Amino acid sequence: MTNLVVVWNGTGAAYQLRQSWSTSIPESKVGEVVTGSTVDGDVRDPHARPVPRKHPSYWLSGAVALVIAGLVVYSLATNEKLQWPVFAQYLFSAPILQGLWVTIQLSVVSQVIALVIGCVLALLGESKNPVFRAFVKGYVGFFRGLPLLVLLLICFNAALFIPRLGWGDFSWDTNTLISGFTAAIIGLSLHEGAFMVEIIRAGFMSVPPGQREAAQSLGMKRGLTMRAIVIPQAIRVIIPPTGNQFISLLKASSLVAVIGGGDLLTRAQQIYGSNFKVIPLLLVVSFWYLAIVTLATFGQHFLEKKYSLSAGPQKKQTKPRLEEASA
Amino acid sequence: MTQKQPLVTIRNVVKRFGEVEVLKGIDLDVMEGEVLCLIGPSGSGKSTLLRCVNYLERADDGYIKVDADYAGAVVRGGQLHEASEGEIASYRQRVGMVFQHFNLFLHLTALENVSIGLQKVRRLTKSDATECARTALADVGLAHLEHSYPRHLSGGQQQRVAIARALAMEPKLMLFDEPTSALDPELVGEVLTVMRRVAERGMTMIVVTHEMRFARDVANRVAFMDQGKVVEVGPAKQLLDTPSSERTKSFLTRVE
Ligand SMILES: Nc1ncnc2c1ncn2[C@@H]1O[C@H](COP(=O)(O)OP(=O)(O)O)[C@@H](O)[C@H]1O
Ligand SMILES: [Mg+2]
Repeated sequence: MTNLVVVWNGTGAAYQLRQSWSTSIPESKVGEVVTGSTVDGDVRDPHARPVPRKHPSYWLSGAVALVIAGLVVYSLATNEKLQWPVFAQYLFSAPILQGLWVTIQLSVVSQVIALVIGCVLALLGESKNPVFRAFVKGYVGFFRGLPLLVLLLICFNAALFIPRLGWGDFSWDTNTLISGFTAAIIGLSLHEGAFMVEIIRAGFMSVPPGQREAAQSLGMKRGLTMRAIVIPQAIRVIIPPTGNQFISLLKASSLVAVIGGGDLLTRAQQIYGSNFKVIPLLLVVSFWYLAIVTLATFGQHFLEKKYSLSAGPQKKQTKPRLEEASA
Repeated sequence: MTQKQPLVTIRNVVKRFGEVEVLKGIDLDVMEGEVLCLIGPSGSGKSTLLRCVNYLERADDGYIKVDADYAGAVVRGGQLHEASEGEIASYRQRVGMVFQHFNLFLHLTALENVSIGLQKVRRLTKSDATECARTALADVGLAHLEHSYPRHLSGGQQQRVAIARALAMEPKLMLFDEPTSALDPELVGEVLTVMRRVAERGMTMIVVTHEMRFARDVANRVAFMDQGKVVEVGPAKQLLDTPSSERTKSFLTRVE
């Protein structure tokens, strides 16, 4: 048998436990203990629960959106100027796929180098040595301040102010060493590195100072403290913005087209430079950028999930809030 | 408990943060096997003094000696010189510290929290370190929670893991900075019980605490600090029951 108490809620309406929500109940019934069920016009079943509300507006707006999307797709698909057959012809053509591969290489290699630059400089930035700290500040200030396009042009034209690289017998002509591709890698890495320094430093700073103090009090030196305590905890703070950086690097790498970096956009430009089919080739380029960015976004979500709960691999799932057996 | 040599010698320790002098010349001795409780109002410099003993803060003047070693300094040619990083680390190995907010390593299980120092600092093999860590955890009554992460442990359990972590390094001296202040009242007892046992085994301890019953029952001596100075030191019961200084008296009436 269920006893239900009609509770006065101060406004004339009253709630009944496990009964219909917010029904009006005569004041005379308020405070009364009722057995089984109750007031006229009310639910009799003590296990009743509210039926979820319908949302016709969701369906309506969905339908409108579908119609609009259909119209857009239709008008794009039937637009002669977009030359879809040309799009299809070039989508998987050899030069485009080569360019795509170069774009991926440029981005991945630059990101890896940037990660190394970021780690090394972030650690130097933690150093007690004021010269190191000043160097890190200078690096970040310089390469974050310089527009990427300008930096790429400078790297590409390095031969104009550094004709030879190396010393004495071990030196080479800069122009033969630095192709468009290597200039692109150098420029992208230096630029991206400046952002990675800041991201990694923010990661280090996110670890509470008590963690380092506890490590030091056990007799850990600074290097070990970083490796064993700070970095494993900082990783989960570092990963999401690094993913974002990589995605913007993927897109920013298209700037290397100005120095003939051989990337996706360079190849497309070379093709439409000779056949003037500008729009379909830009569509091909857009398609591939969207595809790789989408892929990278999935990768980012995966990494974020993996590192969100505990830093480092979670070996055993622990039961939440274990209570002690013995008092 | 027989008391022998002073294990800890604190001489004229001065610490400034900017213009503010937080420690104004502290002198204290702690005998081997002795438990010294530090009491005093908030902001009087108790934590700063403990942090100087562990060289988490560097004293601006004076020196601190634990057994044969100086905090953050070494003797060369009859003169104290600033110690190297390695010398500081090996000094800290011999001084255990327990923090108010536990400071367990959040990415490691209870067992790993205890074993990491054994493995990476004392360089035991992984299996030896794990075995020692198990013993240390069992000692504080937490053997069954060795795979739990700190976020799944109560405050009292976390603090006991922290004590086990410090003890596992086999220090000569243990420092406790308000180890029960961040705990819910019903969890204070389990931590104090563990600390009592550590004291009974003859560990030399400096304990900053507001638990006057613990001080009375466990401490050999109590030191009262106020405004960066040790106002008075004495046998626990004597200082707590019949303090000689007015400041100590008024502090004790406020906390009790
Ligand atoms: N890192 C710091 N920088 C500046 N002032 C500090 C720092 N640490 C402690 N202090 C100051 O030193 C004084 C003593 O602090 P503390 O040793 O924590 O006192 P207690 O532990 O007795 O409460 C306080 O006034 C505090 O504000
Ligand atoms: Mg304090």
